[in-house]
Amino acid sequence: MAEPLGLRRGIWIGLLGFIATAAALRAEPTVGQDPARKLVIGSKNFAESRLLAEMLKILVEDRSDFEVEHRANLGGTLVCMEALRAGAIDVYPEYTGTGWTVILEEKRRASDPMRTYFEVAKAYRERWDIEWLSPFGLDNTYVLAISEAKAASLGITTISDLVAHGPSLTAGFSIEFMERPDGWPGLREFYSLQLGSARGLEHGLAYEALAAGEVDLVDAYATDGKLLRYPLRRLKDDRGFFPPYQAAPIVRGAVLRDHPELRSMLDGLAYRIDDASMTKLNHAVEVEQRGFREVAMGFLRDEGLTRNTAVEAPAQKRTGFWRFFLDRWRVTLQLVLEHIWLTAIAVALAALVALPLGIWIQGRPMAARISLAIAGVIQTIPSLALLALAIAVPGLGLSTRSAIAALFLYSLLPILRNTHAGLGAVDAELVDAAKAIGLTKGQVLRQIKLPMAMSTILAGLRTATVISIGVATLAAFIGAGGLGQPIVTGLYLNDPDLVLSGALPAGFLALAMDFVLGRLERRLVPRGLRA
Amino acid sequence: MPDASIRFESVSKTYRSSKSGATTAAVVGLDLEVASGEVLCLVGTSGCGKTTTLRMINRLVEPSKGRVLVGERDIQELDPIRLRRRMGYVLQRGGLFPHLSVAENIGLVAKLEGWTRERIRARVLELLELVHLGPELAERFPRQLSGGQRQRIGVARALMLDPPIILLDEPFGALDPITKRELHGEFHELRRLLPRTMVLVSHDMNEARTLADRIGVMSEGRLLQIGTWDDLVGQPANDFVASFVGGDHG
Repeated sequence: MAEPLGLRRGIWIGLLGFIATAAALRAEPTVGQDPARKLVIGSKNFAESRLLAEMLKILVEDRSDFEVEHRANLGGTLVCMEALRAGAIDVYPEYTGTGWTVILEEKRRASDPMRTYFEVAKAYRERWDIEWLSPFGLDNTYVLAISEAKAASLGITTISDLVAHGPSLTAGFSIEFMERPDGWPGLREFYSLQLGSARGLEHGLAYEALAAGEVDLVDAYATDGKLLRYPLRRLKDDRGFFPPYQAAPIVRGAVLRDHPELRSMLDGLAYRIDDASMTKLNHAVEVEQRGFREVAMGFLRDEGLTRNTAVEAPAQKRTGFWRFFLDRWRVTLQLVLEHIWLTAIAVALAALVALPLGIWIQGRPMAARISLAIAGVIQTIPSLALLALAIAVPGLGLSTRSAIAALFLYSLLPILRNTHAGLGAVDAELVDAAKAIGLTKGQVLRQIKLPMAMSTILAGLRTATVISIGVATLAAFIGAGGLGQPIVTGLYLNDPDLVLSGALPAGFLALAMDFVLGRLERRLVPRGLRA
Repeated sequence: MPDASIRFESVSKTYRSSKSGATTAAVVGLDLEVASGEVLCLVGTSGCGKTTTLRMINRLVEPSKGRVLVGERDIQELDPIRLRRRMGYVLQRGGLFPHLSVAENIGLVAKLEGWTRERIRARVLELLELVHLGPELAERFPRQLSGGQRQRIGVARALMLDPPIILLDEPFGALDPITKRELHGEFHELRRLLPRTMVLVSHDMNEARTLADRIGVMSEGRLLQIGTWDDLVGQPANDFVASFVGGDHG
């Protein structure tokens, strides 16, 4: 009877040691001796936002001694906005139409581009002390694009022309477009447009679907680089539905007050980039697969805005997925470790909370109902929303901590529910027998209830771990690293190899952890209970 | 041997329903004495209060009124855990823990008492022999045993710390007649080897007659009569006792 005990203890010590080591490896050096000279520029998870942010970075670096950090690939408007308000980032490129509809939730239709810009800028300043600097010049509004062949055969050039042919056409719209009031729902009503079907598609995949003939119609941004890659016709918004989407840097007011000199640097791109230039720049990174810094630098040099020529090494020519995959094994390994670290910390913390809680609520039906209900509600919050909520919490912000917080919350329910159910299922007669032969309450728990509930509890841990490995890929949206990083970047760069280089290890990791925990379960479940 | 007598002094137990607030009397005004080394069997139909009475001896149930003395000491003043470890307890279906091996089941309380592994091992083997089981069973698990074997292990577990008092709750109730007769025989042998105070609960008058020195007949929470088999048959206190004694055994 001592042998399995020793083994169990060994496994636990090993596990704790692993977590501690992972934590130590990841422990970031304390930064910010002089936070005043550091500027954090954020950007959303698509090429244009990242390019604009990169250009701002180069401008500020050229003209000051600021240490500039670029947090790329933040997961959408709400994440950026929360990050800016929380001070996790100082600047990011935003679009007037987005501010108008998504942030200010204006129901009125935005009309004139300049009026929209001034109204949005005024509202941001008054409500959140956020300054809109001068627009870059481009207006990246939505456009509908249809394959050139289809458009020619049907004779369509405007959105109004679509109305007659609508029912015979299928659309693959980006998820965001499907839901935004200034996207498909508004467009459908405004033009009285009926389509054969309209599906939500990841934007990076929409063009592939179009090329494959699976959909006829996609939404695109006016400056989308991929528009140059496919034979597409942009349909004219002849009745002026889509609101203006002028891009401009937006900055926290406090930053400009502390460092007034930053304003002119960040304004350095005012009206320098028109739609056509932006489309070409996007094309350069999205389709030609050139590096962001290289493309940004090239443009600024051509415009006479920088003499800086330092760029990262040019991307190597691709020679098939496996070659690519093997070439970046070091990066992948780093990401796998980050991923494991995120998941292990989150699940371990959740176990530290949910296991004692699950034990405590035994025999307290009210507390049991309430805590299970709360954990259940948390579970229903969509992962991205949970991440956005987490970064709004002071002290979490745009960091790994937010991702861990979200994963932690997700892991609570499976562990709590299984602990509760497992302990509840222990035969009352055996508990009575244990008491009758003189076991204390604690001994009944340790010697009888926990060992008998072990397999159910471990199944809960296993579920939590596998779920967390999946959800942790979303951590990339808030820049917390992990295997989601190549997936997210790959989707926006339309680079299947990059997507796979994250997705394959993530899938493998989930299977491997499931297997490992399955083995652990076999070790930890008392021999007498094994089937 | 220490004083292992048991005495109930006008003990009652009432339960209050948490919903309706109504009270039910499980045991009413019970006076009872079990001498050191005596075997007493409480019999009665189910719900008569015999099991509640048994469970009040080791404080699994606390009396609402009156007091229970063990070795002339009020058990309210004793630590319930220490009290229970000084009494063996045998359950109807053995009450063995399925996740522990036979040896671990028998030795569990001794382990918690801090015995060394060697001492536990030796004692377990000794007990297995006492209940007529081979040492090869030590590493088996309860699900691999027959009902009779499990019951023997249950008895061995109760004897582990060599307690002066043993409580048995329908110990042979769930066994087939042949196994039951076998175990009855072993029970007598065990008594001869280890004279202990024993209180057992049964609904089987035959069993009571076979195993016990004295028999207490209970009904609706009251002790109707207590005495030897001959007392009960010779001078039944009332018709209920008469029919209970005569029922199986005309």
